[in-house]
Amino acid sequence: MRVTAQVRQETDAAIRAAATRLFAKRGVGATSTRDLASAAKIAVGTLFNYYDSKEALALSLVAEAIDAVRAPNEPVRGGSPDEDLFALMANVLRALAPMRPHLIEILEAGLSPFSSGSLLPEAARIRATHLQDVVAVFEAHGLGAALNSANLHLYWALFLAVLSFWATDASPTQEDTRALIDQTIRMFVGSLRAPDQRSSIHTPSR
Amino acid sequence: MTMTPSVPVADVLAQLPDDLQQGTPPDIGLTPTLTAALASAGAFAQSQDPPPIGRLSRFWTLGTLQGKIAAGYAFWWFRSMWQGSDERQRSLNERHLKAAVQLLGTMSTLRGAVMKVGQMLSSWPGCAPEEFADVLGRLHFQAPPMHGALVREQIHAELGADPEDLFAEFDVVNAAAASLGQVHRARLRGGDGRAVAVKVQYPGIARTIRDDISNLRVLMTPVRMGADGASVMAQLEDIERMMMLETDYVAEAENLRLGREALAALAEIAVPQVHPTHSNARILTMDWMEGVHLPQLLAEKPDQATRDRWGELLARAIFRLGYRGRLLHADVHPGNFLFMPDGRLGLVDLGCMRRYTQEEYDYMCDAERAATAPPEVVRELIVRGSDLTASQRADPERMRLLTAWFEWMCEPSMSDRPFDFCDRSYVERGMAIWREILLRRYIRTLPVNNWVGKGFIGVRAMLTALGARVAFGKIMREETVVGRS
Repeated sequence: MRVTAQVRQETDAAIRAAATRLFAKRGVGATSTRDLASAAKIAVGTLFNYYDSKEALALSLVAEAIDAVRAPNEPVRGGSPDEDLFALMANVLRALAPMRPHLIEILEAGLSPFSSGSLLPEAARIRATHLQDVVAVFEAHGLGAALNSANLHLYWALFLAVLSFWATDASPTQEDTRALIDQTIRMFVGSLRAPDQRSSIHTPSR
Repeated sequence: MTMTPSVPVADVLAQLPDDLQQGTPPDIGLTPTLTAALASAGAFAQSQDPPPIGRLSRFWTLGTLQGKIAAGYAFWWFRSMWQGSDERQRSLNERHLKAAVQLLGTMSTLRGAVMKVGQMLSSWPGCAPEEFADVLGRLHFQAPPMHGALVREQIHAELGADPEDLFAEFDVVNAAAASLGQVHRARLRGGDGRAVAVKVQYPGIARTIRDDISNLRVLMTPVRMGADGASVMAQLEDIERMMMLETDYVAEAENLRLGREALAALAEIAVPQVHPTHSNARILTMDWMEGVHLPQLLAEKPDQATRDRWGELLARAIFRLGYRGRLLHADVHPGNFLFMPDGRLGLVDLGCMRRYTQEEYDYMCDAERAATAPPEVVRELIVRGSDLTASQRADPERMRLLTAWFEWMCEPSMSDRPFDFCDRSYVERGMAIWREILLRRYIRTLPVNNWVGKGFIGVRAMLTALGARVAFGKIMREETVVGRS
């Protein structure tokens, strides 16, 4: 039987809605593909026509959440690269807030900095898209030339460290994470500046 | 806008080892370390390392530097002195820095009293060389600055919505710095759409302070063993309590409410109203108040009558808070007062305010009355207020000095005539007594007296800076009556 595009879309939407509900309730590890299929009212085999694994599905939800808050055409909103980078990271955290309780599992499932050679396609896309946004911020502030694959790899490691810290941050309103992001970004941006461009305080916002 | 007590530096310096008692700047690497930093001021200014927040990293700084302990904190504060400075300013700052380092070195012998003398010197204009007062005045805890994106996230996390949704207008460029964060101007939605000041705390700062004090407590083990160890530890505990209160904007909002209530009958004193729907423990929204701080007022060269009037308002406000509200304003500092264009005196920061217990209130009233009491009454009060041991009470030199200090504090209130706070001889006498007390390490006192002393010195310092002549005693006695009515 031919499946129309509309049916595919509806089935995909049902799978994603079921996954959002079940992952939030139980986490990725405790949710089986059978559970997902049952909740979406499809066969397990059908599920695999859409996603290679539940981890791939989880990462796809992460990518969708981040995409919803991206503003690739507006890399510069503040007065400094620190501020714009902070806004970039903060927006990602806001988008992922509903997934925070189970974020560690998702990070382990596919976003490790050590698996760049074998990232799940969804994870690779998340990484590539975010780094693209980071590069845009630096280029908009005239620091694009300072970026290379090594420091972008460093940035990605720092970003994942922030995410993993945030996932288990028990401080009130996760304020410790905000302080960590601020300090991490200052350190990273500072490392990219030429010695005569460094200042001990970021430029105030306009 | 707000300066808090320089607790971290003061208590850090209190940890310098006992052998640094020579009265000369210690050669422990502190000065060479900072000299090296000065020599490479250019590179130093480029450092973007934020203050390490997190107990382990801060403890490492403290534990390994020992006598260079203050350098870790000093770097952080001194860093701000190079921000955006031109070469001339850097050179001036460097001289200030060297002078302050030497003074800090001598202060190492003064242990638990370092904070008192540091604050006193930074509060008294003209009493210390300008460079000492200038740098010491900067040695206060100062949170890192926040850009608009961080402020936005703070507000969103704390109040549940972005600033542009909560307020009709919100200026992301901060209007002023606060010791634990910064202040932004905004306008409320709905109602009269009034202008408000939104104080935003830097994330995680409360934990930083707690970690600092915890680390210091560990390092203070040698001090605990001393004769006044228990007293010094009690003082540290009290300092910690007050510092943590300053991180709690809910407590400050309550202080503002109590302050407004106590000062309500004084039409010429203004305390901003808090807007609780836009406030919590780390965000404080209150009415915006227009006005200038003391330096700008003085730059206008006000005449004597104007100075006297402002001085009277300040004295009356502080006494009214104390006697009517039973509130001790422990941070009387130019940054916490606004001289408003309509002639009112604005009290804009009541974060460092302590409520007197009944026992403390009774002691304060007794102390005020003792200004004209027989010597034996004065002696009893001093013993009570300093919590002296039997052997300390029997020390004639100690009692002589503490009595001299008490009498000096009472001098402005002895008569109903205006007291000239610019009288140099009065100021110099006070400084001489204070130095003597500190050199002899008469640091034992009830914890509340640290705050009483700070408040009293702060008031006198501001009145001196104002150049005011105030009927201090007359106002005090009038307010005592109001307080009892």
